Amino acid sequence: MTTVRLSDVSKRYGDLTACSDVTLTIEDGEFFVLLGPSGCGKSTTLRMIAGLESVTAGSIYFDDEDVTDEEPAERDVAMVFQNYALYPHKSVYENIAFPLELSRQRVDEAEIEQRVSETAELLQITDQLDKKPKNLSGGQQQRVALGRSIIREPSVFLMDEPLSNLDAKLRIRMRSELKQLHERLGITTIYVTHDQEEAMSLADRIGLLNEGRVQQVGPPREVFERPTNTWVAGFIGNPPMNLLECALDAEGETERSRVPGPGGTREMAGVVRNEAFSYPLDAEAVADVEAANTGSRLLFGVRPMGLTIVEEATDWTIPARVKTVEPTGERTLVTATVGKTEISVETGNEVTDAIKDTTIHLRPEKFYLYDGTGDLLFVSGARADPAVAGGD
Amino acid sequence: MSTRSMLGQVYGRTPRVSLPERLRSWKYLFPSVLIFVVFGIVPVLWVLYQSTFVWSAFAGTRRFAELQNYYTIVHSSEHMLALGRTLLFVGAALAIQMPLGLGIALLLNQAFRGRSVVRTLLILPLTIPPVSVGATWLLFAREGTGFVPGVLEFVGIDFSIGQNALHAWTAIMLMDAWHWVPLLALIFLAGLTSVPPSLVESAKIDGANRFEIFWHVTLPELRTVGVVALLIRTMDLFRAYDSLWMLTGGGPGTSTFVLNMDIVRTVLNAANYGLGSALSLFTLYIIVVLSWLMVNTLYQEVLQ
Repeated sequence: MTTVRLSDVSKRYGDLTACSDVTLTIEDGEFFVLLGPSGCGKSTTLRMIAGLESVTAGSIYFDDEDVTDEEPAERDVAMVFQNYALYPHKSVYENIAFPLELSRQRVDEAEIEQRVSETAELLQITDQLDKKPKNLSGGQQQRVALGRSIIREPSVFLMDEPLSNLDAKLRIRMRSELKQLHERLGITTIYVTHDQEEAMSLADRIGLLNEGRVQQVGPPREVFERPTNTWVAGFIGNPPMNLLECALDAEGETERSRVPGPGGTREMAGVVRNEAFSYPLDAEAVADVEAANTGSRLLFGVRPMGLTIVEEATDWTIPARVKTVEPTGERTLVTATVGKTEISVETGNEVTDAIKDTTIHLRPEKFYLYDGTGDLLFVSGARADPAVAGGD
Repeated sequence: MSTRSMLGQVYGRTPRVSLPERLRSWKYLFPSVLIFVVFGIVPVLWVLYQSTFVWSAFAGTRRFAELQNYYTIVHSSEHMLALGRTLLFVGAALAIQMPLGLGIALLLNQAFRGRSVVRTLLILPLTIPPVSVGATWLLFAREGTGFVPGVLEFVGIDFSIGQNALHAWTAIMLMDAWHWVPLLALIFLAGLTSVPPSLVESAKIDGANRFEIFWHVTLPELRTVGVVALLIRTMDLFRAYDSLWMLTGGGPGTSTFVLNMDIVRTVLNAANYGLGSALSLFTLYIIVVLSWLMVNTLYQEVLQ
C-alpha cells in the first residue's frame, strides 16, 4: 500500500514540454484517473511514475521515499499497457508467471504454480492457461495482462488506456470488473484514459490534464458539478457546457431589483448581459464576481441538460433561435443560437422539428460564471448542495 | 498447418474462383511464367539430362550411363572430401556469423551519436564484389606482402595461408565474416526495430534484468527473422566460390578445396561435362534438403 506524490514534476523533450509542474497526491488504495485529450501529457506522467521516462524537473515520492531516479524494477509497480504487451511466444501460464520467475524474485516453482492458479481463478481464465495469447479474445488477453500485473502484488498499479482496444460492449463489462478487482485488492491504482465516461465510472478521484498542466483534481461528481475553469467545463460533459460571453452590470436595472424567480422573490443586485440576452444575479453572485475583481468580461455557463424550454419569456429566460433538432432515442438534442453563439440544449422527446427556425425561451436551472481568463467565479445553488460547494 | 488452410482460416474459407477468371489470371501470369520456365526450369532439366552421360570432351566420347556419374561421386574420396570441406565451411561460418551479426545488431540498436552513419557504413562490404574481397584479403594475409603475417611475425607466429591449413581456414572465416556479417546485422536490426517497445518496458517494470529481457523478450521476437537470415546465409555459403578461390585457391594442397571448386575443375579443366553436371545437381540436392529441413523444423515451430 503506497501513497504516490508528484511534486512539481516537469518533462521536456527539447523544446517540447510534455508536462509542466504537475503536482498530485494519490492516496493509499485510491483509484485515481488521469483524464485528458490526446497529447495532454497524461501518458507521460504515468510513464514517469513507472520509471520508463526520466523526470526533467521535480520529484516523485512513493510514501516518503524519493523514487525519482530509481529504475522501474526498483519501484515495485505493475503496469497494464494499451496493447497488453503479452509475450506472444509464451503461454498464458508463462505470461502470468513471468514476473515471479525472474531472478529478482526468488520464488520457488511450487509457489509460482499456486499463485498463478489463484490469479487465474480470480480472473476466470483457468481454462485458458495452456493457450498462446494470440488464440485468446481481446477480453481474455486483457485478463492475462491484468493477471501478470497483480500476481506480484505490487504497491502501485498503473494502467495506460487498458480498455481502449476492446469493443464498446466488452469495455463496459471489463470496466466494472476492474472496479470490482480494485475493491477486492485495494491496491493504489493510477489509470490513464481519454474517455470521460470511463473516468467518471471508475475513479475515486479524477485528475484532469491539458497541455501538460493539471486543470482540476477532485471526485467525479465535483469535477462535473463544479468545473473550476472553462477548459474543464468544455471537456467534461457531452455535449460540453454552453458558454456565453457577457458583462456584469451591477448598477443598472434598478427597476428589476426584486424579481420573482425560482424559489420565490429574491433581491437582485445586478445583471449579466450581452446584446442577445440578459440574466439577473442575486447579491451573492454579484459579490463573488466583484470580489474576484478580474475585469468586467465574464462567461455565463450552463450545461445543455441544465436548460429547460419554457412557453413564456420572463426575466429568467434566455431567447434562442433553433437551428436543428436531433432526436437520439432517449433524448432530443436542440442546437440553437443566442446572438452569434451556438448552444446545445438537451430536452425530452416531446420536442419536435416544429420548433425549427422559431425563437424559444430557455430557463437555466443552474449556471456558472467564469472570468475572462476562464476561472470559476460562481456556481448557482452551491449553498444548497454541499457536495458541490467545493473546497475554496 | 499448411499455408492454404491458414489463409482459409484468415478469410473464413478457401476462395473459389471460376474457370474463366482463372484463365484470365493465367494470361497475365504468362510472361513471367515463360521467362521462369525458359531461364529457370529448362537449364536444370538440361543439366539433369547431361548428368546421365559419361562424356569426356577431350576423348570425344559421349555415352548414356544412367546414374553412373552419381555412383562415381559418392564413391570417390576426392569429391566426398570436397563436400566435407563445404559442409565444414558452411557450418563454421554460420556458427560464427549468426551470433556476431546478432551482437552487432544489438549494439547498433542502442541510441548513440552517429548511429545512422555507422548503419550506412555497414552496407559498404556488401557492395564489394566477392572477387575484390578475395583479392583484398589476399593482400592482407599473404606471406611476404601481407600486413597480417608481418604483424604476427613480431609476436612469434609464423602465419602462412599457403602452408598451414588452419591459417588458411582462419583467413577464409575472417574474410567471409567481414563480408557477410553486416548483412546479418542489418536483418537482425530490422527485426529488433519491430520488437514492440511495450514488451520490453513491461519486462523492465516486472523486474527483468538486461539479460532476462534479451532472453525472454527480444530473442524470441527475433526467431522469424533469424530463420530467414539462416536460410539466406546457408544457401549463400553453399554458393561461395570466387572469394575463396581468390584467397587460397583451394590450398594449401587441397585443404580448402570446396565442392564448387571441384565442379569448376571437373567441367572446365577436365572437360568432364557429365560428371560436372551430376556434381552440380548433387550440390543443389544438398542445399534443397538442408533448406527443406530448416523450413520444416524451425519455421514451423516459429509459425505455430
